[in-house]
Amino acid sequence: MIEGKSTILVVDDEEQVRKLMRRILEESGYDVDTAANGNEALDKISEHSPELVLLDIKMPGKSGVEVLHELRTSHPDTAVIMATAVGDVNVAINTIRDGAYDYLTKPFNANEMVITVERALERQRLIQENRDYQLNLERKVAEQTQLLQQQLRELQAIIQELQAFAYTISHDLRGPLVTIQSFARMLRADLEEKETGRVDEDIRSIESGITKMQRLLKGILEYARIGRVVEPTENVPFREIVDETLQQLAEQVGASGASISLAETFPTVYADRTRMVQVLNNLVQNSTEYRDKNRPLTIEIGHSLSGGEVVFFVRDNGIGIKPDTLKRVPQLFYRGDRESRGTGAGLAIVKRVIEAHGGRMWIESEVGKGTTVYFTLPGKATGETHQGRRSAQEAP
Amino acid sequence: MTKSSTHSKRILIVDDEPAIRQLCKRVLPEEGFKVDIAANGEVARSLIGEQEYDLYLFDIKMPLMGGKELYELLQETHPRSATKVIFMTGSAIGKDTENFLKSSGRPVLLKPFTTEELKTMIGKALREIAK
Repeated sequence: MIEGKSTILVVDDEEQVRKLMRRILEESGYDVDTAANGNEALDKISEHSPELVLLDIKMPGKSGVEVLHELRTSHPDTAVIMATAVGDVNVAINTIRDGAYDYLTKPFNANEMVITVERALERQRLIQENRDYQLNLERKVAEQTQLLQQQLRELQAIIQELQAFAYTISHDLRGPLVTIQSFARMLRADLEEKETGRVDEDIRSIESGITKMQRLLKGILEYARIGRVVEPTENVPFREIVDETLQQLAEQVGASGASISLAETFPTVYADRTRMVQVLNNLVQNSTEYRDKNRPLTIEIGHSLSGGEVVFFVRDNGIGIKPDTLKRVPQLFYRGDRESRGTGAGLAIVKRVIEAHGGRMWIESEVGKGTTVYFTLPGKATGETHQGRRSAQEAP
Repeated sequence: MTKSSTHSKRILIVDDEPAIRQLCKRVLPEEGFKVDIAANGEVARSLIGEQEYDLYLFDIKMPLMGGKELYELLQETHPRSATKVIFMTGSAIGKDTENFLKSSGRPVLLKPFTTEELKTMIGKALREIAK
C-alpha cells in the first residue's frame, strides 16, 4: 500500500492465532489491531472503522457469523474475511452469501492470507472509487441539469419575446396591407367605371400604405439589430453621447424650433457608445415629434443622483402622455400619434438598449405639461465628470 | 342595404389615422351616406355640438380626447345619440379599455377592417337603431 497503511482488525479467541496473524500482516505493511471476541470486535470497529476485518467463525459468545450480520448493516463498507477450521467450510461458504468477501481455512498459509487480504482491500478500494465516481457524476449531472434548466428558462423567455414580436409585426403590418388592398380594389373599380378623377387619390392612399409598411419594417430591423448583447462597452463621457446625438439631429431640432438645455457636467458612463447615441436620438426625436404646438419646445438633457445611482433624463414640455397609455408606450410599434413619422419602435429600442446595459428606464408624464424619460446605466463607470461646452442650441 | 333607405343617414367618423379617414370618406358616400370626418376629438366635439348624427364611429385611441371621452360627452349632452356609437380599435388594448367597451355595450369594429366589414357593421348598427 503506498498511500498510508490499511488498517486490519484480527478477531480470534485464540491469542496464538491473533499474534501470528498480526505478525504476518504487519510484515506485509498493514496496521493491525486485534480483538478476542465478537463484542470487543464490534466496539473496535465502531471506534476505528478498520478497512478490513479477519473474523474467526467459531468463538465463545458472539460467533463470527453473528458479528458479520451486524457489520453488514452497521458498516457495509468494511471488507470481511472469515477464518474457519477445515471442517466448517460449508458455514464459511454461507458467510460469503451473507456478504463476507472470502474465507481462509486454518491452519493458515501465510501467502494465501496476504493475497486474500490484498484482493479484498483492492476490491474494497474499487468499490469506493466507483462510488466516488458515481457521486461525482451525480454532482456533475446535477450541475449540468441546473445549467440546462437555466438556459431553458432563458430560451423560453426568448421564445416568448419572439412570439410577441411576431404577433406585433404581423398585426401591425396588416393595417397598411388592408389599406393597400382596399384602395387597389377601388382603383380597379374606378378604372373600370372610368372614374379617372379618383385614380390619383386611390394611388396616393396605396402609396401611403406602402410608406407606412416601409417605416414599420425599418423599425423592426432596427429593433432586431440590437440583439441581446450590447457590445463593446467602454468608458464614454456622456457629454460626447449628447453632442453626437445633437449633431445627428441638428436639422430636425432646428426645424422644431426647440431650445435645448444641457447639464453643465456629465459623468462618464460604461456603455456602448453607438447604442447610447441611438437611445438619446430616439428620445430627442420623440420630444420634437410630440411637441405642443401652442408653446415653444424646450428639451432638457440632464442627470441627478437618486438613491446613490445616477439617473439620466430627457425632459420636454410637449403634449404629454395620458396615464392609461403610459405603460403601453414602450411597447414595440405603439405610437402616440398615428400621423407621426416615427416607426413606433423608438421607445421599445430605448428600453431594450438600456436593459441590455443592466439599467432601467421609466417615464413620467402629464398631459399638457410634458414628458420625462429617465434611465440608469449601472455599468462600472469611473465616475469622473466631463466638463462640457454649452450647446449652440442652448436657451438664452 | 339599398341606397334609397340610407340616403339621408348622416355619419360622423372620428379617427386620427389618415388611412381610416381616407377609406371611410371614400366608401361611405358611395353607399349613400352623408359623412363628416374629424381627425381628432377636439374637432369632433364641435361637430357634435352643431348637430345630431344617425351614427357615430369613434376611434378609441386618440391623443388627448379619445373615443371614450367623446362617448361620455355624448352621454351627457345627447344621451339618445350615445346609443348610436360604434367604437373602432386595434386589438392591442389595455384591461381598462376592454372593460369600458364591454360595459358600454356598444358594437366594436376591430382594426384593421376591410370595406366590407365596415359596410356590414354600419348596416347592422343602423338596423338595430331602427328597431
